Amino acid sequence: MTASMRNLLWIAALIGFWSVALDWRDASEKLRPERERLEQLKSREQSAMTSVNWQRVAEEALMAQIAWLDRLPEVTRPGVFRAEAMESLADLCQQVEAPCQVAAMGETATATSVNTSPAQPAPAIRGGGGLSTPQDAKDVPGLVTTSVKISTNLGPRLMPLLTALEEGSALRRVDRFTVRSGRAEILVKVYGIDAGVSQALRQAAQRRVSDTPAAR
Amino acid sequence: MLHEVYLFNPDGPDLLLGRQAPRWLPATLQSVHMVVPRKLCVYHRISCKGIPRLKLSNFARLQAQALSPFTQHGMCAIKQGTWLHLWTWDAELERIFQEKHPEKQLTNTFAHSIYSRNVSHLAWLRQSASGGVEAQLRQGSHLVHTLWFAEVPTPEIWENLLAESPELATYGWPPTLASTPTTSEYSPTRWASNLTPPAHKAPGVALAKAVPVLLTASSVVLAGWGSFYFFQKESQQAAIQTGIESQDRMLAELEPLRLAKQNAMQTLRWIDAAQQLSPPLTTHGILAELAEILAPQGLVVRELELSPSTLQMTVVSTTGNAPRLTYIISSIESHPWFYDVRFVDVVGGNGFKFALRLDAKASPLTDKTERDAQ
Repeated sequence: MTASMRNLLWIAALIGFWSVALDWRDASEKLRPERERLEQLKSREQSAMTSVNWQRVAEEALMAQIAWLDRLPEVTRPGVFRAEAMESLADLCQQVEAPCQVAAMGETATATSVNTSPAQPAPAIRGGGGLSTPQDAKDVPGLVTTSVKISTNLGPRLMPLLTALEEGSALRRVDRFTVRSGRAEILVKVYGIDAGVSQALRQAAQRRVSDTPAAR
Repeated sequence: MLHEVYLFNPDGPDLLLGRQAPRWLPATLQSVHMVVPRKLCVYHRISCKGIPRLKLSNFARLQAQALSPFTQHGMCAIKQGTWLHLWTWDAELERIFQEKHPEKQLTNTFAHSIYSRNVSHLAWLRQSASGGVEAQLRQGSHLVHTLWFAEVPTPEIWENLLAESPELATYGWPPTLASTPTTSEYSPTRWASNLTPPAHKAPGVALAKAVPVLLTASSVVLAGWGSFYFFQKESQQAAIQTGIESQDRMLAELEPLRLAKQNAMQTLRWIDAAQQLSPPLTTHGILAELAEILAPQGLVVRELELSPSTLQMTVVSTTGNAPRLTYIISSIESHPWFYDVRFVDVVGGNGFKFALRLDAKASPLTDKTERDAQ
């Protein structure tokens, strides 16, 4: 092998190694942002998870859920829910000493869930009609709604009646309020919750509260 | 150029006259210049008047070919004015010199005569190692002629020489010597360049020797450069792998927190849905706010229809005067809960019907101060 041939082979080897080294450099340059992104992601996830005391938040949320469940009367028999709602509103009128005429309006609607587990609610609406709004019950499985119309005179007992309706212990909502010819008509949506769903939610909430390290 | 200059000594080691290369440089990258003692040279003085400068080199080679007594010769030629000074020597000397310096390339040759000091007229130069005396005749800074003697000539020998060679007198040599001349040493630096360097001075020769060195250096640099990026790449991959494993461990450690967050978010969604069941604005609150606006203007509501997003009402004046409708509209619109207030019609002669919308995103007023501010 002549010196020239040897040099040529040497140069060819150098060029080959050069291209390999360039590949290494490119690979290194490509890996650098990935490494930095990984480090940033790690620190961000860690801070995101540890900056909030999620155990505490979960516990407080469960307490709030129980408080909301307390405002939703348990419905054991959907068929009589409307009658119970009418009775409760008539009782309320008596409490505030307002002369009322209570009448039913529409039908009773129940939001049911295929999976009654409170962790994975997948609600579906059964029934409906009247002024019930199935959209309201979309994320509250087991919610039962019915509408009741109250007719009463205009007078000093009207405002206490409205206040008692909207701020009472049970969850109610005034859907329409009409004053005409010296009388007021109040369309009230009354809410309840299926007793089974309510019990399941309460038990799950109490179990989780007792499971949290803070409770222990 | 990176080279060393040696005065050739046929009887022993050559004498180093100068070095223009760092000592640490590999020998294959260095070259040597050979200085031939005057006693080993045959000198000729040739007129080069009218010879173009670019052709001087070839002219000198032709003259040396014609005049040199050696079969193979080396040479050194310089031009001084219109004269060409030519020293030739046996090429065998260069071969011997090269054998003494086997690792270095002989790239130039010079006659020792051009290592003289700058004297005005007549110089007698002695080189102690090689022996003999060289006489140099100068005119200004130009060399005119040079003679070599085995010993310093006496005035008698000088006269005999000029008698035998009358042309020497025409060059300007003095006809007589007053006394035996005093000699001086040669200079370590030369004052002229060889017009006819050896043919093998071509840069390719040095380059051919430099190629392996350059390739070796390139290989070392490339190996270092490649190694740096290889280990950097490996380091990055290892760091990423470690990061992924660390992230997996962290996720496992944070799993209880993640479950707690998931449960909390699901419960909060349920609470949010439950909150949607009751509107932010209550009916009794809306009626109270309307009373606050209308009562000061002497107005009472005769008819009213309130739905979750709209309100229609018919008001009558208790004073008997016609109400200021625009003022009523502006005073209602100034409230943060109401917008898009419109006067609809006159009802029953003295009733004025208005329609307005309720702000779905409005929040209940906290106190009277805030209401007044609005």
